[in-house]
Amino acid sequence: MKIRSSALTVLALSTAIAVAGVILAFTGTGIRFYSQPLQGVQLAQMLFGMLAVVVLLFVLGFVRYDVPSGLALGIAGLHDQLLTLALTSIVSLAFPQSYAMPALVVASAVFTCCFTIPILRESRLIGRGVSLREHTRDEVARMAVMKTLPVTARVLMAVLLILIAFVVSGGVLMFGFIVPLLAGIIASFLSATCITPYVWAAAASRTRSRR
Amino acid sequence: MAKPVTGKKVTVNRRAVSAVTLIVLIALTVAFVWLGMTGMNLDGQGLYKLLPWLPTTGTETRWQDALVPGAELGETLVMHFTPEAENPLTEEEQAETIRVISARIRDLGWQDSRVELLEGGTFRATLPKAADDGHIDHLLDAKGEFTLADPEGNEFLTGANIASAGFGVSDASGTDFSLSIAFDEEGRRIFGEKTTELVGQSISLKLDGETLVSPGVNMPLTEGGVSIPGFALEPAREYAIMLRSGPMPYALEVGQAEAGAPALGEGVTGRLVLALFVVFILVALFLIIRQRLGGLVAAWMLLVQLALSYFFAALMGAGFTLVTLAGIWLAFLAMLLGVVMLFEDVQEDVRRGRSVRQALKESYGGRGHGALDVLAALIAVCVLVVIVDAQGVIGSFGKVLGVSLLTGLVLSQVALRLILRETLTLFGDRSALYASGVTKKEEV
Repeated sequence: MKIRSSALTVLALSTAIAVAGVILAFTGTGIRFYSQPLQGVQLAQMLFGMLAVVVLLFVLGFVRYDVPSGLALGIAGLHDQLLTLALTSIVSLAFPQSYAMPALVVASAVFTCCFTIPILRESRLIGRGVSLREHTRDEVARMAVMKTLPVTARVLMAVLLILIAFVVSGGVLMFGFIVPLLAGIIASFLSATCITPYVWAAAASRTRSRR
Repeated sequence: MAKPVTGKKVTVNRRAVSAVTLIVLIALTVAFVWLGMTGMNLDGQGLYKLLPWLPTTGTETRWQDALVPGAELGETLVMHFTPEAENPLTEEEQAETIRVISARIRDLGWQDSRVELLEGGTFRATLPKAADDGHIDHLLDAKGEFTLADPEGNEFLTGANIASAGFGVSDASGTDFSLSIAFDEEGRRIFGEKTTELVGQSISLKLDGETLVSPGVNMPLTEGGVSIPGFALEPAREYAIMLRSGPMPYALEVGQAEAGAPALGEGVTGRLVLALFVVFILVALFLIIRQRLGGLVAAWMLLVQLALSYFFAALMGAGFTLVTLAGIWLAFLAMLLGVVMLFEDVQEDVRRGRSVRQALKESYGGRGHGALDVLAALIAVCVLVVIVDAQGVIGSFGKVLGVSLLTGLVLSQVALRLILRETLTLFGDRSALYASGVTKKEEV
């Protein structure tokens, strides 16, 4: 399975940030709270929730579409959840977190679904409509990203408007509250435009060549 | 010879039917939103009052009775606690005290409370105004050290061996409650041995050295758990909370509760409601400018989704908290995505020369399915996180988000489609009515 090099570069960058952030989170240096610290049970529930979301996204993608889509959706879920946790952990050093942080980290699944599912659908649709002699799967994935970009951009604008509304109303503490959401958007947008489509392309090419 | 048909042929005026349908639906929406902002007094009919549930910025704050604000957005109750210790607490003891206070308050359902250590070694808890300070008083003025003792008073088990605890009704009258305790492996072995030894006698459950109850032992209890009856509802609940949190290093002296400002600052609710209202208006304007009549209908459905989401959040007792708001507005975004995907497809098809009616049908079969996939996947995610963390903050968020998404799914896939069909019948399917940037030439 050969994944496009640009996707691998972004994936490597994400992994580095995720590792740094997760280490910060689990060594107790990261994830500062302005109220009481996160308790062990809540942390365990958050991790369990994150794992459950990743597994569910893989299963949904597999059942609804096919194996490559399931794989791509599962990887998108894993990437987004871990990067959201890591970015939140890093940014929380400057902006302490609220009690809602575990829920909002898991909530990055909302952005994963909103950004990734339309691209995967579009990739499959375009893939069916073009000749594979003329376009590689990578090109199909790229076309799908470009096709869905206007919709993604509009939703992104709406998300940013909502987040600005929160920050304007509540100041610095509120900014701390929206950090996991902001991190979720960044992680999901990154995976949906730079990673997932090419993972799908690589997995789909492999499945096809096996046949 | 066949009989001549005498009955008159009935012709239905489809436009009139569409007009009536739309007027009725608009009236229902206006009534629902109006009720959401003002409520309805049903006392005269012997019914409960229907409280308003839509957050508003004005002086009318009755909606806060239905959607009770949390400590971050609403007025708060500030309580001070002083440890009943002769010497100042060590750092470990202070950290442990904060952990236990937080755990007990959270267990009462006040997830967004804030516990801090103040200079001088006292503690301060900031709770929502709706919090019952009487309960907190009982929960924090005891260390919460539970032990089990034999009839001679020899303690054979401590709270350290308790894995989990709960409470429930123990008799048919519903007035007697029992405390259920599950032990860890070591506790199970010790409790099994002791109850085998004490059959026909009694064991005592003690809290901070004082006996609470002394039930008789009828048979050896070797399953690793016990249910102890003889409690009223409130003590049973409080003891279960204390058992789950573990003991504090010292009992606390609870000071007078005072009213305080929201944790996120004075006037935060009003500003937030206003800012989110402006966001909705901007989104609605964008939709109307891009999709005109179609956009207006979409904005209408988004408004209904918001009103219904707040309504269901109030019904579920979710409270006006940041978690509830995040759930409602993320569901709003998911529905917006669905609507934008749908109309982008319609606009594209219309520009290619297809009729609006046909484009809409095609779009619901194409990208409309994509929106359905997104919403269905997210609902599945919500069900899963509610299962994973039913009582915690993740579960609370999952419930609000799930219900709001379900509302959005029905509205975008069923209601929006039906209403667009009626508007097409009433106003015709001129492309310019549903897509911006379509010239007359393109329309032809």
